[in-house]
Amino acid sequence: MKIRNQWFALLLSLCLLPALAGCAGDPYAGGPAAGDGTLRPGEGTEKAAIILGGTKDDYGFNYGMYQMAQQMEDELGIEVVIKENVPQNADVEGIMEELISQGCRIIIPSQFGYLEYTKNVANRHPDTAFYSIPITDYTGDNFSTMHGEIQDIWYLEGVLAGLYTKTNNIGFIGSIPIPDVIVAINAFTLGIQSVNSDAQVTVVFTGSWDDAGLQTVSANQLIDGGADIIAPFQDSVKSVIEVCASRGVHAFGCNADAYELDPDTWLSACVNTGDGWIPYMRDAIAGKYETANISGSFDVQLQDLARYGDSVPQEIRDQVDAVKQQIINGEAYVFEGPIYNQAGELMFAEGYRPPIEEINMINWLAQGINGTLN
Amino acid sequence: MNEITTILISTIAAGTPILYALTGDMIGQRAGIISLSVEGSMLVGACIGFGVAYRTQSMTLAVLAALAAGGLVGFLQAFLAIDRKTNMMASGFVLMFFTQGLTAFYGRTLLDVSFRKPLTFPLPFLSEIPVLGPVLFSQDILTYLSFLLPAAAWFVLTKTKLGLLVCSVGERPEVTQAYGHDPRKIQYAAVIIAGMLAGAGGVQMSCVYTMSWSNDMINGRGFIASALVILCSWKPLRAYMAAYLFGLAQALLVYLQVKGVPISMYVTMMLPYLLTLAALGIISTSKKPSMPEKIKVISTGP
Repeated sequence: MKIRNQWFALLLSLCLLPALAGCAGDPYAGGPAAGDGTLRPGEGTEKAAIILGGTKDDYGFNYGMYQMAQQMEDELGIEVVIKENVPQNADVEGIMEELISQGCRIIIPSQFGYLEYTKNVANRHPDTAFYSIPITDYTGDNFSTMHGEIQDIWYLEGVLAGLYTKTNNIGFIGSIPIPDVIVAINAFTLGIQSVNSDAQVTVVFTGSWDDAGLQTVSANQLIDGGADIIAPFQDSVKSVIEVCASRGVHAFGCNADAYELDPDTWLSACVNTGDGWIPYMRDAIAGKYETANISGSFDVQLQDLARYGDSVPQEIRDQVDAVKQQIINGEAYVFEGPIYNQAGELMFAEGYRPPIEEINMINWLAQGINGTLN
Repeated sequence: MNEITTILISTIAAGTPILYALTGDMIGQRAGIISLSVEGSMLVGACIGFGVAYRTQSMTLAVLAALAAGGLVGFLQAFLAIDRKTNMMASGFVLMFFTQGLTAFYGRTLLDVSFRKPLTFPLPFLSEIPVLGPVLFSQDILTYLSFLLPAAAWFVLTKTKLGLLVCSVGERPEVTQAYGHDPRKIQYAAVIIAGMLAGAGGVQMSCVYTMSWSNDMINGRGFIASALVILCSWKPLRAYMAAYLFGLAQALLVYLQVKGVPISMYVTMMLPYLLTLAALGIISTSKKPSMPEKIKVISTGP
């Protein structure tokens, strides 16, 4: 018995050897012209890398980033390496060093937790261009920021929902009340109220980004309560869409175009678009890198509305598109006063258009929302 | 729909996967082995079960596949904990991380597919009883079976010779041996059954409850189940209370928010754990728990 076990262990380790071999290879071999300091950031690179906190096929934020990687490959003709499930700690420095040694000289960190370490790596590699997705103070030299703002898009989703609902009852499944989520809930509700003063919005927080069980319970109870549209702010929206499909109601997505999951149940979503980045990266590759610090939505082509679902009628699409045009022209502004909070207190005075810094500081829910942040 | 019915339906739905894993792990613990690996068994059950359901459109095959996959993880836990004498907590954790990676890898092709076969079989007449009818008698087969599971476990463990054997291994394995039975084989069987039942809980969660597969969808429910075994003082009939208490807390988490009850969101998020902790506290002070001797050795030292 004992001898057999030892043979078994030996055999097992032999089977695992090829896996180890895959990790071999010199991690710091140095890519083409790495570190010689004569190149502008990103100049002449044939490879870029996107660093994700989750897996690329979550039909949420990470899938949106993956879709953008494909757009970069198509339009810039470079190879885009995707690193998934990267923890938000110092490990990311080693991963970035490895990517740079493989020749990736455009690097896109997607999570806030990477940025501190990204700045260290950026200081060591002045010939590599870094584009941060989250908004940050580190911007400068070869460290650029391209932050997509979501309030305009969620407002449009609200307009769509307000026009589309038949029960005048709309459910929102929030994750954790961080600024982006609070902004989304408020913008969504203001959009609904702009076209439908009778509609109610009920917000539920699950305290988690991707708990399928809690998503299911939340969606079912909101639908039991009369909701005919569910808007999730969750990383993975698959189970929400399945529940909505089985109950015959409709759902938005979150941060990715997941139209193909169920074209009939799908309404739309807020998505990243690469259109705003591509010119900057094209310049960088051509040796004309400039530090960018951009924050915005469709005005700077960083965010847009995803495809409409099959069940969205043409007149609603036209109306939503008209509002979008008004926002682009500056005729409409999502958080333009007067805006009241749940208690009925005036938060933004008549005609006041708060700047983005003030919008990101919102820690209250707008009048007409059922739910609590406390 | 009646609001109590809404809450109870959510309670049963959220409690059923836990009920399976809980009953399974209780059998394993009665034989002296704690399987934190039920988390891993649930994950592979959910993933492989959903995959088989999607490809064959047969729920029966899906359940069989989930039983096999969950049982396999149980077998690994049994091998490590019984034959290789590893720390059973550590091996349980390692198996969880292993299955997380494994299911994330093999589950890739399942993230965008649907399994929408109607699985609910309302029982005639009974399902029309007001309030409780839709809760108890308009469910799928796995949920119906789960209603009987702890009772069956109770019967086997306390009323049959087989159950006596299982419990004797958890108390005094040398006695079992003296009576001519191999404690090792019985432990193996108990831990594999724990894995199989957890696998069934997993496939219930993916195919019936959430109707989808997503990465790491079990999200700690297996650990909760394993901890709830202690709450139940290793008594199978208390599994109903423990599992549905957890389900009720999840249902209330959402319900209180939907109804705009002015309780802090963070308090409602604590509810599942708060209720469980409170119940644990009450039980462990009021009565000496009937902890199997072999587990007492692990938790309090020989």
